[in-house]
This record gives sequence, structure tokens and C-alpha cells, in this order.
Amino acid sequence: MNCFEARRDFAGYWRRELDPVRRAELNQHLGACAKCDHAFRSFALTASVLHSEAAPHGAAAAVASPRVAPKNVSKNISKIAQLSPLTRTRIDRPRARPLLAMCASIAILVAASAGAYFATSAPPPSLTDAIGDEQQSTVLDLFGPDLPNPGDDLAG
Amino acid sequence: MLGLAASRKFGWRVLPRPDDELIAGALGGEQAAFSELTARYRPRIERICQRFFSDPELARDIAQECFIRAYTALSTYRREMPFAGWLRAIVTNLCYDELRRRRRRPEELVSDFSAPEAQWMRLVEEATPEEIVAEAEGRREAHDLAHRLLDSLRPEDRAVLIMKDSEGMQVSEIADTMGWSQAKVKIRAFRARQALRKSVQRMQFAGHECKV
Repeated sequence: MNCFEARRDFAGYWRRELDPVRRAELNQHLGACAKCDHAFRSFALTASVLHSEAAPHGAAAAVASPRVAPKNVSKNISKIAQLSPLTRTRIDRPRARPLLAMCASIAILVAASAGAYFATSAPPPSLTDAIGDEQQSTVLDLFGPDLPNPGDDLAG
Repeated sequence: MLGLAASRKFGWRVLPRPDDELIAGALGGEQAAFSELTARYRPRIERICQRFFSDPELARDIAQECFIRAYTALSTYRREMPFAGWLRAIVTNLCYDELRRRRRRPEELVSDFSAPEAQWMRLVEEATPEEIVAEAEGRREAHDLAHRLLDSLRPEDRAVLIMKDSEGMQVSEIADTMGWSQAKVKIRAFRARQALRKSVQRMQFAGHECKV
């Protein structure tokens, strides 16, 4: 048995699936090859989880513990089956809700920044401030002769 | 139904219904059919969850979630692949998502071994391989220590190790399950082994310090 074959058999050795001859060969190899012996000891540290067929007694006991209320899969499934098709579609697409929340937060952010901008900036200049006194008449001419002059008393 | 009654009366052995028949029954609204599928695959699915998580209750919850997902998506199941493989893909993805949600804390790895854990580490270093295998059976601390080592890995590394080493899945199967390229699976498997080796070394070093 070479090192490659030996390491390939580690899992079978751990699960006691090797035949006695192969097992003896592997034992012999591990006794002779320091590298494979070290590799096996490293393998053994995780093999209880990665290569065991069942959970240890402690875990099994915790699963069977009466304080944990057993959840009945078929009961839940029957509940799902009784839901309307629309509700089932919602269950199938759970990502719609985060998307909606994201859109809502973006809308709030945009509204808040727009409000802050208009609250802090100066009011836009009026037409009369923007143009000089000399140009006022030209502008008023453009609007038509019926418009009153800025200084006129509208009440008469 | 008649066959079931007859088998009960005369003690005949009834052959288990094939998966395809049960799936067709479940799709047709027969809830007992899906319950039978659940009972058939539950131990296997729970075992996969237990490889990902040390907490048995969490493992059970994820296994249950897997069957609920399978039920709601049963109409999308394609018969080209075995039902067991389809369920395995669902549960692996659920476990992987849960791993990513949890924060990994590698600093816990090397801190504070319990007395039984330190004893188990010493046994792994000093006993013969036969003794190690015999002693490991049913030892809670061996299980806990292994989970602590695996917790130090990145979620994708842990998922690849479990799929490849524990479940014996092919690279192409893992790639399909995770939606990765085959090259990525190979790289992740290589890096996972490297990372695990480093974690073992750190743990052994910490174990030596504990003894001193």
C-alpha cells in the first residue's frame, strides 16, 4: 500500500467499512509512514463531523429532548397547501419585500435632500431685481400696454 | 388502498412506492405521498445539516425548511436528476446561506479547551489509529472539537469540504449545486484543505500550551 492508497482509505477505515485485510495493511502503513500517521491524526480531528454516519449520543439526545417541541413538517406543509395560490406565490418570492423597502428608503432620501436644499438656499431673485430700471420699460412693453406701471396705485 | 389493507390483513410485505410515483401523488394533492417522501429522506437531510451546524435544533429547523421549500417548488423538479440529489442541493444551499449569515469567529478556535476536549486531543496525538477510531464513537467532545475546527473556515470552504468529502459529490455536481464554475470548486477545495490544515496546527499548538 502506498501513501495515496492509504489516505484514500481513511474514510472507510473511520467508518469501519474496510475488510480486515485492507484494514491490517493500512495499520501497517500508518505504523511505518510518519507522514501518513500525522495526516491520519489530523483527519481524525474533523472526522467525527465529516465522516461519521450519525450524530454523537449527546447531539441525538438533544434532538430527542422533550423540551424541544417537535415540529411536524407535514403539518406545516398541509398549512401551506391550504393557502391561496396568491399567498403561495408570495412565499415563493421572499425577496420582493427587501426590494420594496430599498425603493421606499431611496424615495425618502431624495425627498429629504430636496427639502433641505430648498429650505437653505436663497429665494430666487424677482424679475425687477434681475433687470435694471432702464430695462423695465422694455420688458413691460413686451407684455403689452395694458399692464400697470410698478409705481401706480391700483386702487385709483 | 385495497393493497395496503390486504397486506395488513395477510401480513404481506409491501414494496416501497418509488419516488416518481410519490412525487406525482404529491403534485396531484395527495399529502400522504409527500409525507412518505419526507420520512424517507429526513434522516439523510438532517445528517447533512448536522455536518454544517453543531446545534441540533438548528439542524432540525433547516431540514424542515428544506422540505417546505421542496414542497412549494415540487412542480419545478425535473425527473432527469434523482430526487435525493435535488433535496441535497436545496439543503446545501440553505445551510450555506445560514453559514454566511452567521459571523465566523476564528479567535474562539484556539481559546479555552474544555477538559474533555483537551483529553480527546491528547488521545488523538498519542493513541494508535485503532484506538482513536474506537474511542471517537459517540464522544461529544470529539464532535464539538471538529465543529470548532470547521467553524474557522470560510462558509464556501466548509460547504465544499462537506459536499466533496462527506457527501462524495463530484466537482461537476458541486458546481451545479452552488452555481460556480468547476475551476472555482477545485480551487476552493484546495484552499479549504490548506486552511483546515493550518487550523489543525493552530489547535494542536494551543493544545500543547494547555498541557504546559
